[in-house]
Amino acid sequence: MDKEHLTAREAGLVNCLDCHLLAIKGDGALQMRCPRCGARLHLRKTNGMARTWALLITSLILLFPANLLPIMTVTYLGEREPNTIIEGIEHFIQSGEYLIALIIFFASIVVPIFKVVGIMLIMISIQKRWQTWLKHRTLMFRVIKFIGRWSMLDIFVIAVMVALVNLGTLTSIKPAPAATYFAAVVISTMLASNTFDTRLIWEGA
Amino acid sequence: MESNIPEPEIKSRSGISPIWILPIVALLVAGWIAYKAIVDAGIEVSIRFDNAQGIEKGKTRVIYRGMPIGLVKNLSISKDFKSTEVLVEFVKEAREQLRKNTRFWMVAPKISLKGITGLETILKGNYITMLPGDGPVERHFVALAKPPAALTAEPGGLDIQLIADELGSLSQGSEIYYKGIKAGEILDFSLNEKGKVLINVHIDRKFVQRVKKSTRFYNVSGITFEAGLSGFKVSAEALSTLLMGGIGFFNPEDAKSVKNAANGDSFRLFKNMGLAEQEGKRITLLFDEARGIYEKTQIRYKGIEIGRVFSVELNREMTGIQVTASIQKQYRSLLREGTQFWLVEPSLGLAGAKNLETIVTGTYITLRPGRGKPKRIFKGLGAPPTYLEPRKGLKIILIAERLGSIKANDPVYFRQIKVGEVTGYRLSKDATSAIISVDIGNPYAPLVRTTSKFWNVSGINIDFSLFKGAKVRTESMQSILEGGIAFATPGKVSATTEETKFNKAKGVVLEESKPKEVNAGAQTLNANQPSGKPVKNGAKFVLHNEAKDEWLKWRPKIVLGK
Repeated sequence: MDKEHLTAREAGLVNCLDCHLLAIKGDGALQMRCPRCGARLHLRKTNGMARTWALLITSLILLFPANLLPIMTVTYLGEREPNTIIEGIEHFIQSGEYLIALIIFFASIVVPIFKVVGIMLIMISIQKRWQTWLKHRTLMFRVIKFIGRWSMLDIFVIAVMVALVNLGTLTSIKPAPAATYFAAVVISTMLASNTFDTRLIWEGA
Repeated sequence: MESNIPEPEIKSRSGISPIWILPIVALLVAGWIAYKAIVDAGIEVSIRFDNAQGIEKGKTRVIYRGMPIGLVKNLSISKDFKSTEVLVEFVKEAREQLRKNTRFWMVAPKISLKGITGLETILKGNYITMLPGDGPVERHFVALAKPPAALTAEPGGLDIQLIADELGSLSQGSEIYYKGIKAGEILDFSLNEKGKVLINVHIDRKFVQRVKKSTRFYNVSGITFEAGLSGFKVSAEALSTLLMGGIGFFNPEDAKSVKNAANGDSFRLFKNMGLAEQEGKRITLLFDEARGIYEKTQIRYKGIEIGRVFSVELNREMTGIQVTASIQKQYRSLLREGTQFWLVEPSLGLAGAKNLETIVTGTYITLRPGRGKPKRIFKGLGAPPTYLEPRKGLKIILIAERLGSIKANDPVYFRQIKVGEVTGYRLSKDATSAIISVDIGNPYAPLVRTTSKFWNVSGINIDFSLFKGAKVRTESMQSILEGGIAFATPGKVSATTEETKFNKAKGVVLEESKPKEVNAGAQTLNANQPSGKPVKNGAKFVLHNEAKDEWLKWRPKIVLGK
């Protein structure tokens, strides 16, 4: 790709990511602050790549317990029945609730994996200095950021179920260990997408 | 961009960002979970069921002693579609119990007349249970269609086998009773090659000591109804046996010395308690004819029922009747060599009616005990035995010209009181006289002295005399009709001559001895001491045809024996 665009860095400017004020980059200064809003100014997010990687790996590891352990325990007539995410989806399919099954499947399985794998792909592409599909990668990142906030859906469902279905010994629902790991996965992927500096995508461009 | 502006020196920060703690922590946590999962991993075992009805993947448990120890992980049908494979994951503690002889079966709710079992399965679903076994470690099992024989597996219980001709109303779960208390139950039953029914029975631990090698089991199913002239009897065990059937058992009286039964022992199952009781205690009576003898005819001794006739049938040669009877155990000591059985029937005769109660209660068999060794087969007599077994009384012998109307059992009177009986008679060896054996009851034995006079009181003795008129003399009415013997003992006079005469009297002494009658009449009346000496068994006397007048006047004082 041709060098069509002048970057802020090349122009000696820094963009405040909070109030979007353009400021002149100071030389040698270790810390820059926005003269208008006082936010820290970075040419690129500090240690962005390393932090993103760390968070990504964390979420990747936590994906396993989140999906393999039971996420909630349904107690029906005194009979405790722990369910993993997949088993929960199976339940909904068996009872004909295809839409709910689909939503939970996306929110709990597709989205977290998509997020982790997507950001990893972008990271790898930056490190390998691939120059293709730049726009698509940015688009993917935007999508990742957008759906990130919905991936807590599962945790919300459990929270609501625990509150609603509480008929004592007859039927009750309790969160199981995987809920914690799942929440950790969601948080760490959100943080990863946050620490990632999109400007890096265009670095070599 | 001007090149005169110097570029800042850029140093990369050394060291690792603390953010890397996060993935390390995550790794540790995940690693720990993985480790735990591996350590706690259950044992996967496949169990083949004919029918997986009620088994649900992820729900159906394996429960042992009320504890869930396994969970069905998967269900699949076999390739030939003839059975189902159930994959069960067991807790790791069960590792040592999954051996070749471990047995599995389904527990489903069962509602029967006896009660409801497996009720918990209605809410929780059926479950699989197991009975640990031995043998090498095994991971593939075939489930049983129904609970195994040794289901309860209660330590210390006893598993035995009963052999019956038919099952009747018994079924799996029918109870075993001991003195009316539940002592066990039927586990299952099957047919053997000989067509007999084999019933596997489990005896509860508490009753193990009660089952001996000689224990008798009998079917108590239903009600037994027994009616007869002497009343009727209805008997039933616990109510549930009416519907479910049941088995009772008892120990024969000599069971204390018998060893306890062991696991796997076989016993015969009797059709009813009566049969079980009679087993081995039956006696056989051989009668000439079955007249008056039926099933359930009583056997009495001294008026007490001691047993019953069990069956009446012709013997093999068709020459007589074989009567099988049972005698209650406490009276069994009567059954000895020499014991005589005969039938008691009502009889109407000149002397009166005898055994009238038998008209109502039916004829019965009575016996006279013998003293020999215990015995089981006896010859039955049609009539009371003529020769009575030796009794404890004084036995004397009377010698008569003719027998007259004297028969066995005829009374012997002293002062018209019966003190003894004729026990038999025979012809003397040279056929010149009749020899009658008499038994004088023990307390009356001292009445017989060497000087005693015996005479026949059968019939009526009538004397006609022109001057004295007619004189009729009899003993009792019965003796008129049936005959009898009377005797008297004189008081002390100078009766030495008689004495010597009798002591010398051996063989036939038909000649009447002639006591000195000169003063006898007056003197004997006053004499307080009896004359003669006491006699011993076997003493011989002459039986006179009639009494002399003065004999009737003799009244010596004699102390009776005990």
